[in-house]
Amino acid sequence: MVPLSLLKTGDKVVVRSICGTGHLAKTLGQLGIIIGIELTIIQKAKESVIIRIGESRYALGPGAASMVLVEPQI
Amino acid sequence: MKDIRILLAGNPNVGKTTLFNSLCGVHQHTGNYPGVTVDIKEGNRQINDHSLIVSDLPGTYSLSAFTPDEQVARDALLTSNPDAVVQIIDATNIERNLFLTTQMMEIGIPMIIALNMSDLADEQGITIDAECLEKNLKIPVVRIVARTGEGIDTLVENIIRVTGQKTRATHKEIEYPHSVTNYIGEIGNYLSSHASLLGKLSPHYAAIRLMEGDEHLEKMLHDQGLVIPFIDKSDPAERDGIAEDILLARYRTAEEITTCAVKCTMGQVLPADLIDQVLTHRFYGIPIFLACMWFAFQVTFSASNPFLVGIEYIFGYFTELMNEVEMDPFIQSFLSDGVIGGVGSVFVFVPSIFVMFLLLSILEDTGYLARAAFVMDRLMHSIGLHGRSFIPFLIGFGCNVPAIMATRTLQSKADRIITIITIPFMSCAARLPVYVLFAGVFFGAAAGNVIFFLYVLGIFVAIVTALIFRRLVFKDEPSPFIMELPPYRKPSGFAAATHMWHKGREYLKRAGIVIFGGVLLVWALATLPAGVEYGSVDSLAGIIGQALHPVFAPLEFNWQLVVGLIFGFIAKEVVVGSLGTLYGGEEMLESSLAADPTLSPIIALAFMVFVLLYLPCVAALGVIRQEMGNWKWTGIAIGWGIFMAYIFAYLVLHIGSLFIGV
Amino acid sequence: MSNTTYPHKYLYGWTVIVTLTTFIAGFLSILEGARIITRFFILPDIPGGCILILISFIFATAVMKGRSDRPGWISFSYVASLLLLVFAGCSVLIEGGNVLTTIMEGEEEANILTILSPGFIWAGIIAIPLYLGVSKLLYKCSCRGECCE
Repeated sequence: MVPLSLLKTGDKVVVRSICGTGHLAKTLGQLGIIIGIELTIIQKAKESVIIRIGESRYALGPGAASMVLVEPQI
Repeated sequence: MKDIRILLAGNPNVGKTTLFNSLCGVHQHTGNYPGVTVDIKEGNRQINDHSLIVSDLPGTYSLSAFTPDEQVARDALLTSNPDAVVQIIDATNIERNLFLTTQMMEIGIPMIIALNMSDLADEQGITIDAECLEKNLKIPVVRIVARTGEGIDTLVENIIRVTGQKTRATHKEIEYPHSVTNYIGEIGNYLSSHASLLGKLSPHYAAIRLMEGDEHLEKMLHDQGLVIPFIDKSDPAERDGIAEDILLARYRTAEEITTCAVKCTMGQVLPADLIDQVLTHRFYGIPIFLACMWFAFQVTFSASNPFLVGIEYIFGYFTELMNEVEMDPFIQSFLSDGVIGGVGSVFVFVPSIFVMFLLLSILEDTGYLARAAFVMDRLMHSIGLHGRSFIPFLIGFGCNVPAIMATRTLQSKADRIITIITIPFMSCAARLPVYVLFAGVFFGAAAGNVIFFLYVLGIFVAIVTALIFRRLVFKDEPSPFIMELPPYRKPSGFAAATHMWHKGREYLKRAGIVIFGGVLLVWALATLPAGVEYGSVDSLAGIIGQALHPVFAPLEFNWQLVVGLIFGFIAKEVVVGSLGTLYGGEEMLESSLAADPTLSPIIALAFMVFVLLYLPCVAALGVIRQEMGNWKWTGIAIGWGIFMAYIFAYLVLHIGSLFIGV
Repeated sequence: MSNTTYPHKYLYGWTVIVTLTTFIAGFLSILEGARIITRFFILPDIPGGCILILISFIFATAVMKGRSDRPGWISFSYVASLLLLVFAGCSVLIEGGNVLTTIMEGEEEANILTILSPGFIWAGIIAIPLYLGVSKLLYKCSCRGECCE
């Protein structure tokens, strides 16, 4: 498991854990970033990422991206 | 006549406002990024013997209410007791939208689903089985295309049918795990003995919300002295676990329904992933954005210039005409100096403002602005602002008032306060006339560069302000950035032109009422007391200007400029209008400014800097007060603006003199 | 989608040509703007020249990517040529506005041909075939089965 912020463009990953329980974690949950979901990283700029889940795209800043722990798909 | 109250709810950027517009025949602005609507807007539509009262809610992903705009939506849904809720669902992205449906269908209000953008879904090869959706959710589903008004009539019919039903609608029930149902049952039972405290909520639904972690509800019950067993006693980790189980159950429901109702085939989509790779590129992202902005400003100034010259010519002609006609000199002065001079000097800038709004709305419609926010997030973060603050800033270049309202999409209070304090430094369209006038008179060919410098200076002051407030006052980090990126869409020339027209008309209206009034006031002050030479030192305006003149002496502003600044508080355009009046007419304003020995390019520049920074207009001030919620921060925002204006005007004057040698 | 060969040899070759013209147009605009040379019929414009060079860099990235990463070539050259064409359109508006203003103010020096002088227009004309070709490829790319997987 690695934080989302450490992966590279084009990686497909599965969310394994979300650190923290505050508002931010809940916000992620409501956007569909939940444990077990598969997402694709479509852009990576420093520690910020843009991810795609189904047909939705979300931009996550460094703080949010490091909260999402994922496992790369092979 | 029967009133039917309906709420339009849905995720951000699914077309709620577009539907609202076609339902109620109004023209609220819509944009292709989340968070355009931050307040409830009401409208109505008459059908036969029914009157639909429609409320357009801010977009929300859930009912959890972390940001003020989400809270507005939550409160309306839970406490206003409408006759029906219409959820607008983006047909190209059903699964995510259905999450909100799973939350709303438990409230017990009759629901109707409006499947919007089904034309886009067809294009993208997404086929939706609306009947299957309807059968599974037990909610009527209507296909609409809000943009063209297709399907609206069927939607209205359904609203009337559903609200006319005697029995309350029962929607699909979500299957929670046993542990969760047990808890919900127990808390529900407990709450039903205190049902009066819950208002419109059913005990069962209130129990679910408490388990989900609705802090507002919990606090509300607490404040009324209700101690809820299981909630107050259970340990946080266990409660989080249950909240997560509920979340997962909702997602599973949404997923099941989507799998059954959505079939995909090959379609034509502009592959946003590929384009995002370039537009949000590590190196190219920011330069591309700056290039777009540079062109937007250049086009605004150059393309509107011919119109400006034309309007100037027409007003000049009127003034001449007026001066040739024989009439009472007092009325003549009123007409040529007051009306034509003052109003004309403001109307001249209408073309620039139209072009600016046109370009901003084209940029919005493409979906690029949300990418720009992502690109700017790192920069914004390093100066202590949230990436999302970027969109209010951009709106601020059009008008500060909606920009300040748009800060409601920010979660943390510190982020909001800092953003609101810095927004007035974004040079709004109303300040443009002042720059165009002074830069044109004193800097000639370099006018464009001077104006660009002013915009940049505004941004610079905003950065300094944000840094100071973040480091010294709030001392915390901006909250992390999460934002949905809308799909790319081809901008429609028609939509952009309509938007431009409505914004421009608002400006014209203001020019007609507020500015005209302001200008007349200035004319009266410049004429009275009777018998003084028009606009001279002895007139009331002159006396006021003289009285305040010493304050501005270090900045070397003459008294006319001081009067202009005072009236600029009504609206920034009035600065030009009142100068037009004081210097005797629009046609002569440029030449008399150029000929005034007390003015020089460098003083003009200092004046423009002061106008850029000093005070937001009355309207913006009102919104700042409303959004800050108290006078303390409102006062700080105003004081800080005047302070910055004075310092920077002083610096420009003295540093500038070194270079120009005046 | 990863494809190591690029069947559209001519279009790829054209990207190289567009890269060079854009760069040269930008370079000349800057030189004219700085009054180092004045002989060419190109608008002196330092910021505009910088933007042209920026776009030529994006084209260059597209060329580099194209060796191994076909979608990369398509997306970079598509966005760069789109930007170039949009900016060329803006330049026509800007210069048109300027010329019209000088005419209306009654100055005799007005030369309608200056509307055609911005470097963006020259580079833009050369980029049109690339834009058309690449946007077709881009839409083909998007007919992927991803949504159906």
